[in-house]
Amino acid sequence: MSTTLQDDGTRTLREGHAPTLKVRKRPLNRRATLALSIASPVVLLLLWEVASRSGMVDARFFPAPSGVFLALAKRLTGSELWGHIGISLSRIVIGFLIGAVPAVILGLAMGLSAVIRAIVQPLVDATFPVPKLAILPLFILIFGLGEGSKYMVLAVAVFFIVLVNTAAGVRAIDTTQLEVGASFGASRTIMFFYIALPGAVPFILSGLKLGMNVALLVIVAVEFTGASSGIGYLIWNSWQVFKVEQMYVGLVVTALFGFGFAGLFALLERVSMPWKRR
Amino acid sequence: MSAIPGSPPRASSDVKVDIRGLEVEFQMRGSKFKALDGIDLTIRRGEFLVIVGPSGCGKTTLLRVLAGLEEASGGDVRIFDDDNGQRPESAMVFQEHGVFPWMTVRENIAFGLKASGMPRKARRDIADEYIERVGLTPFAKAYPHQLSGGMRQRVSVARAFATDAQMLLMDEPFAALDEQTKLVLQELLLRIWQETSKTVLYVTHSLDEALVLGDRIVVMSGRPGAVKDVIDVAAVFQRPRKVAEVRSDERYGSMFGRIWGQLRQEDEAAS
Repeated sequence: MSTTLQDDGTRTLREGHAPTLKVRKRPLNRRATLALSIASPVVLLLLWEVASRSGMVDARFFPAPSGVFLALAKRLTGSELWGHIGISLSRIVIGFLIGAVPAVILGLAMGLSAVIRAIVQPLVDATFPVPKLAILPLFILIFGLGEGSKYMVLAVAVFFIVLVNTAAGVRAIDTTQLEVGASFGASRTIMFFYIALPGAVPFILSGLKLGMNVALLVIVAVEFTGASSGIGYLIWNSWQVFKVEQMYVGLVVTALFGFGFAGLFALLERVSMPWKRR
Repeated sequence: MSAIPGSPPRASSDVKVDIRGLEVEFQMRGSKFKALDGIDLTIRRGEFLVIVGPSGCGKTTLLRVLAGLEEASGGDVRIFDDDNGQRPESAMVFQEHGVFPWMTVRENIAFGLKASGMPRKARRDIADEYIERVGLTPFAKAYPHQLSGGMRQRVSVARAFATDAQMLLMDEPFAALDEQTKLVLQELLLRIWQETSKTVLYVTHSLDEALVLGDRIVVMSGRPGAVKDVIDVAAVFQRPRKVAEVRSDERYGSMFGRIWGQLRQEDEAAS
């Protein structure tokens, strides 16, 4: 667009003279985005396949992806891998729930009550930095070598991250919204379930997501040493007997766990926050 | 904040709130500062009282004391119940962010009723009535992010009126809206107020809004806040009013000038 000053002082705007910008501002269309995001991992896997088969990389450490997927497919027809998957999943879910449920409740209470915050906050600050895996031996002492100690380490790891996020979520609620509740004389129950909880849901969900990532991390580490079953055990055991392909199977399965839970939380987000702008 | 039981009725029955020597102090980084200093004010039953004043003069603080969100540090506030205290004492309309994003329009409007413990069915009926009154029927199930700023304030206003509270406390409810939307909502507010005859306390920094809406205008002086003047608008502009008619009335200018003169004195005193 250009502007010309006329003799009579008026100006006319002419189109078609704007400098052409080389910057591509519009996002890619959906199809192109999809094609590119499918192509990139496929190309990577192909390169890997070629590199492994041609001997450019050591096939003992980097077996060809086709071999890994064949091994995975073969094991999926048997019962052993499913057994490992089942036991790991049950540990994750149970440990996660033991940690997350009280964390959400206590986190909401901390967010709402200055008294509870004053009591709990120093305890959290003091114990939060302790690496959660470091307490595994202690938990084995207390809960034994069985499932109990595994649940509890997971629970503790999940607990802190969910607690901190939930409390922050309540604190992040607009003061006005809490005051609306107070000005209408809302009871504590109503403040809790209709303002604090839904208001903190975005933070709670991101806390739960982080908690689930931590749970995956911790379960694999716990199963490396203190277990004779589970995906972590499968990976560790494969290393010990030098079954590299089987180790990769374990890695692929943990990745699938990650995808699965991410999908689950995306669904949970959509269901629990129909009010979110998308 | 409530009428003290057994206290002798100090005022006749057309007094809704009697404020004597109200003081409010805040703690700011260890030091105290006075937001309100010796406010004397009588609010009449059923009147539309507008409070104007320079920013920081404590007009919002006064409203918040009446809403029970702030505590008085001195003086006396008496609120006289309309009828045996069956209805909620007050309901507040906030400037912005007062609507819950996680509730639909209907749930938002029913919230005050829910807080007062009304059963579900009755709540819904009343909410729907007010949704219609503010013209949001097609949006009953919409979430606030799907609404414009003006529509969100309709929700806020409807929520407050739906509680059938004796007194409505409005803190610059339309300040963030554009002029046209503001005008439409002012008309809407006047209409609903006339239909329900509630006591309204309305804080604004807009002199125009004060003149258009109010029965009386309380002009406050700043830091610490005190009542400087009370102007009777109802005597000049008769009810029912049309916003546009008030603005084009020849007396509008002189009233505007009178209030502006006082606020300007304030500004000059402060600077």
